[in-house]
Amino acid sequence: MRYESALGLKAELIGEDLTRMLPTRAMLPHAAAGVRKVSARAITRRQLPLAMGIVGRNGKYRLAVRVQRVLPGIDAVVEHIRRTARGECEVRMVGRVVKQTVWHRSRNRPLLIGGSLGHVETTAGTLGCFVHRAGRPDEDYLLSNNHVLANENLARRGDAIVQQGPIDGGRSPRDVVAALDRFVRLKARRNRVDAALGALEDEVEYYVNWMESFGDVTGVRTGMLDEGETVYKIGRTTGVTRGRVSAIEVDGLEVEYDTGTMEFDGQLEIAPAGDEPFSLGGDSGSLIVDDRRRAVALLFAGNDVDATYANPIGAVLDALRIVLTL
Amino acid sequence: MKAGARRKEDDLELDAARAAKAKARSLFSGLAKVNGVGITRAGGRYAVKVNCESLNVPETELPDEIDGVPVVVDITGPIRKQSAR
Repeated sequence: MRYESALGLKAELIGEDLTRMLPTRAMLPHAAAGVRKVSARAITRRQLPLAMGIVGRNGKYRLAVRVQRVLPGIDAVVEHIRRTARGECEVRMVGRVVKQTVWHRSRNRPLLIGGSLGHVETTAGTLGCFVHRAGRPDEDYLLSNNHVLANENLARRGDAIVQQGPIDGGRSPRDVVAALDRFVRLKARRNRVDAALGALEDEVEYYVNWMESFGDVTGVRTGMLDEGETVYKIGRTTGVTRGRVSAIEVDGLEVEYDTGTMEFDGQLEIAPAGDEPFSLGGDSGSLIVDDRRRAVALLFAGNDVDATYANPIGAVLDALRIVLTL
Repeated sequence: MKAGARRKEDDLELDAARAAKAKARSLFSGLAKVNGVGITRAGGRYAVKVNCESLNVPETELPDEIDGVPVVVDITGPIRKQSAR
């Protein structure tokens, strides 16, 4: 829709009393936590845990809806907004409650695929999966991106990797789970992968190939991945999401890093399957699987709206000379 | 048909799309700030996907095919690493 239409729509929705759509108990403080006893005064202080904005460019705009807290009945409110916007809206979950409670931003022991992870001097990314060197199944490594584990080439072998990632409260030495091992150096041009390994600390246990909400990773996809195929991932920020391959063999992709722009070739592009993004900041390092739970790619970049980029898993395994631990 | 079965026509079409992909970047230079050229499908056929951060000319002035291969233009904006912010 045009920008003016988006503005008008936003004004119209803000003008409505959307809180009336929620059951009264949902508006009580701590409703999400199950607290039932509150004063009558609290009921009158109604505020919807939801923000609206406008996103888009070049004459194509849509309503951006940010849900800050999940309450009983909030689905109906979001659905009402979707209908009013005739589907031209983008809904995302944000906010502190989600941040504090979801398992993928919390401490996981044994470690889980999809959990928050990072080098001590980074923010956080995602634990992709567990791997070992061919013929050396006794060695345990975790796989994620260079920019998650090796801080864009700035880290040194042996540096501490914490789970959860520093931004989620992970600290050294308390939360150290691995030491930086090999990584593929990022360079200005002709990158194929953004990948690194962490050597697991001896006492740290992990669920070998378990993907929470999905089941076991069944192997590595060897056949060609084609446009339109459905894929899934679990990431630190957006959790479980479903997407669809929107392009293959993407060359000349320039990705902004803190240390500069790096160009990638041979990448996979994924679009969201619904209104919500397939990935957001913090999902870097997520393992992407196909509908038979075979590994297909390692997530590393995106535009936070409708495009996610990932390294084909074969290139990652080859570059680090590793195999998936299954 | 088994999941891995491919038609010969598909592979020929894919090769044509790869060849067109190689030409797309130079054809689009000056017309748009291109950020990534890949392969997608349009109308059941393999096509070239040209991702742009911005366009310098109206979309109607962009090539819609290269050597008979359809071109799909997408405005993806800037792409960033996805560590937590």
